[in-house]
Amino acid sequence: MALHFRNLNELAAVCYCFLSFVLICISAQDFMYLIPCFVICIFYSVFSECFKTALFCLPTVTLLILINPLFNHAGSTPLFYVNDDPYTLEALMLGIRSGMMVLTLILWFQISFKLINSNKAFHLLSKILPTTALMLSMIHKSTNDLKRRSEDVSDCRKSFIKGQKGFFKNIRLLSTELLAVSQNALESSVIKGISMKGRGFELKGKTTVYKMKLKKDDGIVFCTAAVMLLIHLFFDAAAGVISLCIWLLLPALYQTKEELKWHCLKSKI
Amino acid sequence: MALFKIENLSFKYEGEKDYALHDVSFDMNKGETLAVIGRSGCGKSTLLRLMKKSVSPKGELLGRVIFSSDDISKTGFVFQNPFDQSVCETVYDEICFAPQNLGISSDDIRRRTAEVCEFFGITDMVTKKMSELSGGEVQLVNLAAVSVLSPEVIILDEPYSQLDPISCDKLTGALRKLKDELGTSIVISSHSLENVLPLVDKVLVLDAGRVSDFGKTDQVFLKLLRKNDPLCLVAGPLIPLCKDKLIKTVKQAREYIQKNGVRYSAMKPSLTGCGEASIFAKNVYFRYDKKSDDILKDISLKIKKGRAMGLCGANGSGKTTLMKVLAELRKPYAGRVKSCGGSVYLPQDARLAFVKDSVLEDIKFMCEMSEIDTAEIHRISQRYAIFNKIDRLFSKHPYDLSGGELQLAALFKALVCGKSIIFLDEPAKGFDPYAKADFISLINEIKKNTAVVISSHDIELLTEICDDISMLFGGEIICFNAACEFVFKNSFFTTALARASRGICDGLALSSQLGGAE
Repeated sequence: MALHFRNLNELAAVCYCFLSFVLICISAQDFMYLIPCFVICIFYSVFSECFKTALFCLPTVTLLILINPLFNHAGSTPLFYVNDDPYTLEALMLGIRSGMMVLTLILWFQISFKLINSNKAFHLLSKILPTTALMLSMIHKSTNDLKRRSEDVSDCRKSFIKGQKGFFKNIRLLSTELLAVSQNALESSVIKGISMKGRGFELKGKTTVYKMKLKKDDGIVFCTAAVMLLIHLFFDAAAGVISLCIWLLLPALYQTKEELKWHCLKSKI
Repeated sequence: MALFKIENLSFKYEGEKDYALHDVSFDMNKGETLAVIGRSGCGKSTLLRLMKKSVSPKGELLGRVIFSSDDISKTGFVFQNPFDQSVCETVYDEICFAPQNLGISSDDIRRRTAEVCEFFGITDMVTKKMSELSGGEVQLVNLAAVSVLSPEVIILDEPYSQLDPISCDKLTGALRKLKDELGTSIVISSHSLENVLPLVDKVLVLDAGRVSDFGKTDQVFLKLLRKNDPLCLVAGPLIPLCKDKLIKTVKQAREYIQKNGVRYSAMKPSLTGCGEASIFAKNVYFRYDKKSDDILKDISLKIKKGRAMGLCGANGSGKTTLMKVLAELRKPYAGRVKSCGGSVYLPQDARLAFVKDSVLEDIKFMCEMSEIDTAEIHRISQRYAIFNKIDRLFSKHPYDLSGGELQLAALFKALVCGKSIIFLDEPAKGFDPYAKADFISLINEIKKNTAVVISSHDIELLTEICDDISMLFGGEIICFNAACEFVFKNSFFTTALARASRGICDGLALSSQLGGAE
């Protein structure tokens, strides 16, 4: 799902995901907004293979829903009493709202990662803050290298020093291992530094290979955002809900449009 | 026209007493390939780094390095370890890194990147992450990443030392294209010029920071050969065949043998160590996780005390995994592994076997943790003649040792550990001929009391050291033969000399056999 949406410009994609996130947070105060958001997020999670996350979060959310009335006794409709404290319908509804909001936000994060992969975020950042973008990319790369190195160091340690060691000995071994891994990483970072210098990293006036070309589809995203915000400001709640639903369904609509377009083009082959 | 001219260059590192380079002078013309050879620590890397200003080490410099252009884009530098020098996460970003820094326009970077990817045949790797590539592929990307600036000269510091033979061939192919099709000058330092020898025009021999010889490839190597200097083996294992002509290829060697014949002592199967089994594996199956494919399939073998076994096979055939399973560092999901007396595994990067700031401190730490008497350190250094000079390595930081010294120190540590099997994963990568000779004699001594398992792509080395060699293919042991049987049965996985002498001289596989009774 939403594969075609990935072809949008990184700026448009990031703006879309961020604005949606803000809107979900604001609209979570009202069930009227929250329910469509929740349903759309579930719909996306099913199609973008994020549903496992929803299932994984379900026990936590259920706990949140059930626990809230145990601590919050506000409300005028008691369902039953626990230690003379009322377990009210209002508190339960508040718990349901909080749980739904948490789940919606978690799912939206997952969907956002599908809509903008790390490369897109990196391209956008490298346009604005090239050095920071490179640093983040290097950190990410080094993490994988460190993992591989620590496995080798650990294998060596296990091979040289076998058997039960006791708690303090194990702590000592582990700290020495960590030190060795970081020492190795530092050593390789020296070479990396020289290699970067040799390829002109210290020079001024850097450019970037990534172009930020805005296309018609990117324009549609920005226009839709503007229209939706205007509707929220000047029209009633029902119109607001409809505009929010259209906004959140934009990736699905875009996908459908692209599928139809492809179907049409394919028929001409 | 001279591209480089180096005049009376002497160099001393900051804080060091001695000069790393003394009065080095030579020149190099446009389009030429220069090979810098010498034993480990003779100053090759220092000299190479001084040839590119932006990667020059800090220290006291006397003399002059004259280059026709000081522009950063005119000299490319490729380092020894392919993984350490790469900066970006993806291949595309890595290639674009240098042109971006130089402020080249986006369109131009795209054009250059596309060109360079096509030229080196790495187009299908462009979207891949650097971490997904093999060492050879990364080194090819590193070469592309410096070639994208169209440099006049490319300097490569031991580019082959971490690569397997197939990756070596790919890299050589790329260098050949750079030289022949673009006229790029190449400066290369290596302990094995076997692949690249036909490309080399001049050779500079360094000895303890001084130029001991400089001239045309044939002249320099024949001079070394006549002096019986092991350094001549840098040109490949076929060179000892003839002292009058430099033999570069198997075809040349075959013609020479056919025409002149050779005196040699025939190779015989080793009969040592036929006692009890040190390690025993039966029907072993292994995979890294449930969803992945089997890495090892139905492995059954027996390694006897007093024998050395070699493991060869292509990259990804499961050599390292098999060693780790046999060393009981990974648990097979089916089958069983049984070892008597324990085992030690030394990884490809032997530096990772050390966790302390000096070799001695590290060995003492291991003794303390494993409750081994520290007197064992003295006993081992006395027992093996080659460790007589190990005292001078004790005070050094493991990262300051050369490849040969590091492997020696790691083996010393393994022997102090007192286990009955030693597993060595690609131990001879980046060895100079002297270190290789030392390593061979040490393993020959060690295997009298210990079983040794060596994984390597270097069939010459395996044939020299091992009693048995087995070949892995797709996670299975395809053959397990005595070393002499293995080299004479195989057509591709065999030594260069065995290929050259096939059908002419029976039982000739190693240059060390030459000169004996016929």
